[in-house]
Amino acid sequence: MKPVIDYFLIPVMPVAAFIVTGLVLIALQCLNSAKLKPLIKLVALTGPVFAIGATWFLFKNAPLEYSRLQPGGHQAWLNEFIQSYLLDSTTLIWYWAIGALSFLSFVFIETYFKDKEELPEVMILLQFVSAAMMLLVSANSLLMVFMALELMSLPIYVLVGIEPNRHHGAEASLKYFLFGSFATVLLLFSIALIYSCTGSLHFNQISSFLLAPTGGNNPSGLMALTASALFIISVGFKLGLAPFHMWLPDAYEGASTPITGFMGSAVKLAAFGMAVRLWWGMLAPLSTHWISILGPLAVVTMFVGNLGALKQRNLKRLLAYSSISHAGYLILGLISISKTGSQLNTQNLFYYLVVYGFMFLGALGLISLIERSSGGTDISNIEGLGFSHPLLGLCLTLFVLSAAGIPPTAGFLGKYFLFSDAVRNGHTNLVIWAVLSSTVGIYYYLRVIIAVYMTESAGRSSLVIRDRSMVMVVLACALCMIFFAMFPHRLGI
Amino acid sequence: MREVLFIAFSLFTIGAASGVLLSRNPVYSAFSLILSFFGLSGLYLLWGSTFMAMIQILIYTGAIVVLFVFVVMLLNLQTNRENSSNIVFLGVVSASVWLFSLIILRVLTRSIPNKILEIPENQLRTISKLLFTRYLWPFEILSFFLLVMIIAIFAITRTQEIAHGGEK
Repeated sequence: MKPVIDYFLIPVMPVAAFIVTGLVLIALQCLNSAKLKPLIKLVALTGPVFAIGATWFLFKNAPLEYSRLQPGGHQAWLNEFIQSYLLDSTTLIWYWAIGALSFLSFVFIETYFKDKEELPEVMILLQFVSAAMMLLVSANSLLMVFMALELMSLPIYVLVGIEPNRHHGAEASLKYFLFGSFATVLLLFSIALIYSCTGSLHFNQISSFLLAPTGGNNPSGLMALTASALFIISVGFKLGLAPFHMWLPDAYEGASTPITGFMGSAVKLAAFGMAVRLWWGMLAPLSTHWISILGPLAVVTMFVGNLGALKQRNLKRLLAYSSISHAGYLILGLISISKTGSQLNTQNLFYYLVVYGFMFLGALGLISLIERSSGGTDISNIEGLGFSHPLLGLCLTLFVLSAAGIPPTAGFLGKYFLFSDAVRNGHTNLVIWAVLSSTVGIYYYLRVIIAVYMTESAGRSSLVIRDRSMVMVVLACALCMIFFAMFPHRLGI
Repeated sequence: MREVLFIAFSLFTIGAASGVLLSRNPVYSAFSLILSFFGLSGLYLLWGSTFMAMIQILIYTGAIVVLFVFVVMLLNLQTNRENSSNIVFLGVVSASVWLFSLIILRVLTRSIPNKILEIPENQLRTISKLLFTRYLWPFEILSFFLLVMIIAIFAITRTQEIAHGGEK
């Protein structure tokens, strides 16, 4: 019993926090009494709180102990679990970010859905999505990657279209589902190819097979190359990279605004965590091959995102295109990760992802406030916001400047860290393209600021704020951004 | 004998699969899908994997395609006869995809190491033993996955009910 507690129950505590909360919510909902309604909202928030607490507990109690676990001598399932579940200090920091972003998103989503019938189902689904995100970040075998990825994506397909009266909601959901399931099929195909050439599903066994002197060049190395090309396509779909980004603006626009915030912040973070594990944990011996594909793909993604955003008038669509361009910068950071010993230096990528997550969530919180009072998310709806609500206008300016990467915001620091990493790893030509494309991006970010501060609108006093907790989420995001800008190294481990 | 059966089953599967794409009537498409699944399960049998062959028929033909047919009949889809250019486009696309995958397969099969997959004697017992011992944790996640899907389907149908109630 002792090894089961030490090697299984304690490491999965953060994941279990979400799953148990989800099960409790299901039980509460089954009781179906009107008195329990307020309780559901409270219980839903305990998931992320307990997950953060459990992560903190693991962090205090020597995380290295878990990462150095050796399989062997236990029951078969426990050996398999230890091999396929990675838990080191880096993963724990990703856990912390997932917990924090989930908590803010949950408050935001609860406020948005508070008068609606579908609140309990939304909260139940979200608990499992968050649990799956943690599983995804620490997956160390292809089987776990696949299970966690599906447990994460399928509820999101449903959440995108869960509001029955939303314009384009069902269409966005269907589109996202079709593209996503196609990507899943390709992922499954590449997993099958990897398995048939290496005979294993565990990352370290696969990479040591590929590292063998004949690994990269022998006939089965060709199969591994085909598989890694398919990985680029399928993971590219999930991350929204350029040739595979078609679903992203539609899904982000059609989803309920807080769900969009959740998708763009926490889910994106988890997907990048998976990409890091897949490429640097498993396919690292083939890195020259996939870097030569991902590098140009990153540049194309930045330009598609930034040029696509230029003509958008809908704020949600504009942010969706900006999120595509940010995926490009992040891929640039991903390919320039360096190694010290066996430890990957993911701090800079992580810093950018967290800053971007809080920025996106905060901006979507503001858009949601505007949408609820004026009924639209068009750029004309925020005209004069800086005069009618100075604090909110300032927050939006902070988010937008940060997204554009203008100093002294946290977004600038994130871009600076990523680009200097890339230069250090010899991707100078890619960095030149990235800087060029971010100057294109400044144009549409400034358009938002012009609308906030330099346009007098007739109906500028129409913004009525009914939801205090949504304002709190926006302010919390803004404060986090300021904190990250001032103390970037508090986040860099 | 094995080769002849293999070629016969493959041709049957490919023919039925192209029937799914080419027939105008959705019910015919669904039935061609059933036929192609039968062909696939024959291929599994030739490979010696009786369990996969059984599951193929039980789950795909027995459950999934029957649901397809139900949905098609309930929705009462109109067959669309106007866009005939679609079929040429479809033919060109499928032919090019087919050629491309042939080339890929040619390259890949030349490079596949001659590893013969071991097929255990008692497949059902082996698979269930593995599921409940070595792969217990992924199996548990699968159970959460099914739970989540039940809730998701419940949520979707209920929200649609609300929407329709609002219309009335």
